[in-house]
Amino acid sequence: MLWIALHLPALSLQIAQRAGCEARPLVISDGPCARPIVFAANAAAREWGVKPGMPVAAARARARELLTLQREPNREAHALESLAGWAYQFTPCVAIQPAQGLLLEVESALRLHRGLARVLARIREEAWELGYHTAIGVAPTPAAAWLFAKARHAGRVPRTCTDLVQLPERLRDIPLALFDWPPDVIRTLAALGVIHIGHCLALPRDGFARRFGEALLGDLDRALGTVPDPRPYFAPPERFASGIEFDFEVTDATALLFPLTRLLKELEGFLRGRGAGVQAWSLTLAHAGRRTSRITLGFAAPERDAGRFTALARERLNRVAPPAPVIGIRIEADQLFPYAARSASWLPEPGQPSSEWLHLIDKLTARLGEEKAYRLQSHEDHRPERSVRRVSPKHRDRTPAVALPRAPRPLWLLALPRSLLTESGHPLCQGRLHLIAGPERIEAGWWDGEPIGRDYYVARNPHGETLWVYRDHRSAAGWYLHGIFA
Amino acid sequence: MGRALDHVLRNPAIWRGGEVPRTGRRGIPTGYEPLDQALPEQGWPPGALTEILVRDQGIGELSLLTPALRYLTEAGRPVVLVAPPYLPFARAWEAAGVKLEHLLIVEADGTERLWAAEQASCSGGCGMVLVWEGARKGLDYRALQRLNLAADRGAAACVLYRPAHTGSALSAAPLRLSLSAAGELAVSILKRRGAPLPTPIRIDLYPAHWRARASSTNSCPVSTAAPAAASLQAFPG
Repeated sequence: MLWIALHLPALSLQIAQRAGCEARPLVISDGPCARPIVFAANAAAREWGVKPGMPVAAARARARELLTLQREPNREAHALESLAGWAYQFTPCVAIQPAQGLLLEVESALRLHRGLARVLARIREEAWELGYHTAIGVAPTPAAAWLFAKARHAGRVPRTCTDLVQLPERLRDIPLALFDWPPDVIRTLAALGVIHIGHCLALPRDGFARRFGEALLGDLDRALGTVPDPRPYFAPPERFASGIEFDFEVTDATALLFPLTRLLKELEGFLRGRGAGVQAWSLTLAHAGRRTSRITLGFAAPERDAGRFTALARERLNRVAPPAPVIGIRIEADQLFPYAARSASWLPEPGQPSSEWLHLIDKLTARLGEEKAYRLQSHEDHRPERSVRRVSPKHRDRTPAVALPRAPRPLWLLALPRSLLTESGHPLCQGRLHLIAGPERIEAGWWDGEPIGRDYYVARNPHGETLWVYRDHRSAAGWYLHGIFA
Repeated sequence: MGRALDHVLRNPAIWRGGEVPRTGRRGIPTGYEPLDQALPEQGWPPGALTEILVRDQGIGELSLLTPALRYLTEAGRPVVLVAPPYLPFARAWEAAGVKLEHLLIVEADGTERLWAAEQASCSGGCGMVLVWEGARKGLDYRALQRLNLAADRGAAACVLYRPAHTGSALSAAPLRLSLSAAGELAVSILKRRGAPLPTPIRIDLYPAHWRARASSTNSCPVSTAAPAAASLQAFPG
């Protein structure tokens, strides 16, 4: 077994800062409402001398324009679950360390990722792209990996251990304070001169257990791997949902792109873990006063590339500005589809649309709107205006075979027939029309309340234009232009 | 000496006045033999902008392209229509052999028209892109240049329909045709790689019996009585 621990120090602060604003002093408060204390402070706040543990009132006195956010354990739990969904792409064995981080068992996945160094680099880099700073520890037991990660965050030299035999030696100078032990126990041990794990291991086991309890001894044993330490593995959900809340109002659509990119990268990681793609995802914009607006982006084939998602979202946001200032964004994808990476081949396989073609359709519909790009289908109806159907290019059904007309049909059809003037019985359209073929009687629709009775002719005007005209013989209303033989 | 000269002259970059130069790139067959012969690529040039100037609509300006559209869509290569002036009558396109599942219609206005045409041309996923220039605001030289470059990048044939009065303006399109109706369709080649074509190519697009009736002076409309079923024979099956 080989475990990678991802420690996310001050997670609530990191969540608050994912929207990308780090310049302003910010603290997360925790503790009783009457006397809240600073749980975490960002760099800008620390510059003013604000430290975790001090009362919020004292912090306010030090830093002007200090922004205070209440710690929300629920949000932290949600964020960790989303991150676990993202981490699922590296290994199927992901465990959540409540409130602080993740543990990944990677031994079986190392060959896939071509070595530990590569997988560590990828995790660190991609977590950073999501907007998370992580401290990473590697050890053969989850507890030891966790201690290494915390020690790394506390400023100690990074340390990895891949061999169980060497583990006691490597753990020797890790401070006991990194265990989540009660503070008074740590103080008592420190007073006895027992500061590092090495000191502790030198003590007689039964005496230590009698003095401090079996539980603490168990913690030591699990870290060393002498007793098993089973962890419940995370099961990824069937849908994706993740959001970022802003502590300021965003009015400019382009300013949404930065946090949006972070969420879309998270979505990509989640989809990689599931071996899936999505054909649609929705972006919900939260506005002040609990109002929301929603944008849905669809794709012609299952997709999971965050870069493409972002490019399409940019097109859409450029076209449709948010209706009100935005205070939070959320991405949801409900339906997952099996994803097969398509090769960008020069000659696509016959019958398969090329990836360039699918990308073009996505791009056009993202900017112009879903209804602005369509394919046509013939529909079995004699009324010309009812025989054309628009279908989404994202539907892949075959065009149904419809019997071809025996009489000529124009390539262009006017959506609404245009009434023509007449001169002593001759229809006019930029001059007198010569009827060169016809008539063809079309009489249909008496069954559904929109009956037509028309005699269609092919006509030519003095300019040489060939037109499709008809005379309505049900009403005496005269002649109409209905199509153009372009 | 003669052989060496021949060898040099066979280079596609060199052409001599009065003859049609042949380029290495094979064009999309137009379906009309005389037109193929007159075009340097022996067909619609892929990877380039082609301008078609038309004064009147309904003279066969689209039928001129349907054999090429049929050729492309039957091979599974998609075709995009950007901002067509009317709704394509699906039956007629099918009757012309165009496979509708490979035909995408894009409605776009103003600047989006050029954007959509450019995206489609440079995507690398289409065989041909047909664009209609808006009546309100025409495209300038730079826009045409961008379309030509986009077509080159995506190796698509980009065909732009323009009103005839733009014929005198400078254009970046390597091929410019002007269409007029004279009983049949007359295709004048205003510009091509090589010498311009002095005489228009005449193409007959419509069935012969239409022409017969169009030329006959008797074109009076039918009587107000309902037409006899026999007159349906005007459309031979």
